[in-house]
Amino acid sequence: MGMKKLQSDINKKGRKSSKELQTYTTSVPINFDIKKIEKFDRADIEFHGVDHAGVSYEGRVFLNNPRANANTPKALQYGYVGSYHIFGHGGCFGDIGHCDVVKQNRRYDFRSEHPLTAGYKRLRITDQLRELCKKYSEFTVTVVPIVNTDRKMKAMDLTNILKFGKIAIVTYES
Amino acid sequence: MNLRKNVQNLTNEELKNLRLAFDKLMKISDNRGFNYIAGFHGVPQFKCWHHWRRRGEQRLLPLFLPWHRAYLYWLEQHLQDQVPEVTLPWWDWSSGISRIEGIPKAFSDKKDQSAKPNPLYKSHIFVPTATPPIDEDTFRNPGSPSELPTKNDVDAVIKNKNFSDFEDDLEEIHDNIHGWVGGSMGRVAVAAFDPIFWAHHCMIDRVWRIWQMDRADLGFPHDLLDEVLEPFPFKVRDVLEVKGLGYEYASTSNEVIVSG
Repeated sequence: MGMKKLQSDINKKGRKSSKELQTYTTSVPINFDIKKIEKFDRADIEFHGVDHAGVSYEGRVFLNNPRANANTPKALQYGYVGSYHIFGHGGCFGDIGHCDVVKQNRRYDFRSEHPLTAGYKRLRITDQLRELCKKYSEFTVTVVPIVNTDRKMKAMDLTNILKFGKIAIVTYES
Repeated sequence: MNLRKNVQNLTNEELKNLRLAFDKLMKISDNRGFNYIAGFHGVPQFKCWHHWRRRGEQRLLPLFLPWHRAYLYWLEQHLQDQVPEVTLPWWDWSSGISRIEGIPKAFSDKKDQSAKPNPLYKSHIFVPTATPPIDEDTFRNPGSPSELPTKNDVDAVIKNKNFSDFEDDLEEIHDNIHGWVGGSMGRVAVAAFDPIFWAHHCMIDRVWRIWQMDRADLGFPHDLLDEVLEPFPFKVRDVLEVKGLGYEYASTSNEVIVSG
């Protein structure tokens, strides 16, 4: 199965440390050139460099609906193509520096990477993208975070939940 | 061979023994106790594997499933030290009854059959080395039962042909359930202190087991079989075959749905 990567590096430098993460609370445009695709057997939206240090959340993903919010119906006619879920660390329970993700660069360091190393999520959107491609040739990705809030979250940052290194729409063809 | 069962199918005696084993383990404060073992996952030891990470210069390692299989085994052995016939049950969050009542009554009832506090309802987290120190009970904040995954969702995961897709999709459902239960379960750092964690992961392990049944080589990337599952005395290859760990899952799981 061949793969066409049809965009789009949000941050081509990638994630080096938690402090360099960009924060998105709004939409991300992805230039998806439909003219270059004749057909595909599978389409995914990939989220790379996903921060999971904070709260758990559902990321509702909308295409071409930058005004989507928590009340927007989860239906394709509103651009909803699916959700991913993050099992969040829940904040830091260590001393200063405990949750700083430090890249290992010593040759004989065989420890595993820091548990908070940014993660990866993939959402399969094959049928949804096929349908939307009938109407659009460019796409904007909007992620709406939904948090199961509880009494102990008052001290946590619930406004800057979405942190990605890169978002891509990837199609596959046989 | 120990047989793990659907929590809905436990007899009264089996449920009583399960609660007794958890209760006894929760009263042990040394390294044989529940508090210590729950501390492997998040605070204070942070040994759990989620997502794909590297070790040294290697490629990304998908150790989520084998690590948690070893973890379940470890707790089950310690439960059996207290009550030998006990096995961990699974919570099928995709079942009809779960989509009505949510968390199984075995875990959500505040009292047991004898009107004593139900040890499966919550545990006490005691981690004095955390910053700030943790000395509190677990709690939950579950969503609507109708939002739980369906059998079709699970079937779609099992239909994946390659391990990478299967692992990604199963971990996605796993993440969903942690967030759905909420409270302590919604935080990696303290999730394993909630007794429902173990029934949830038993279901995850069962789905992996079902997926493995159609694969003679058990479906794990061959070049990763010697990866170590710290802090357990296992490599990946040691946990691929559940019978080698002395357990199997009951093949059927009849359930009684009480409609409202």
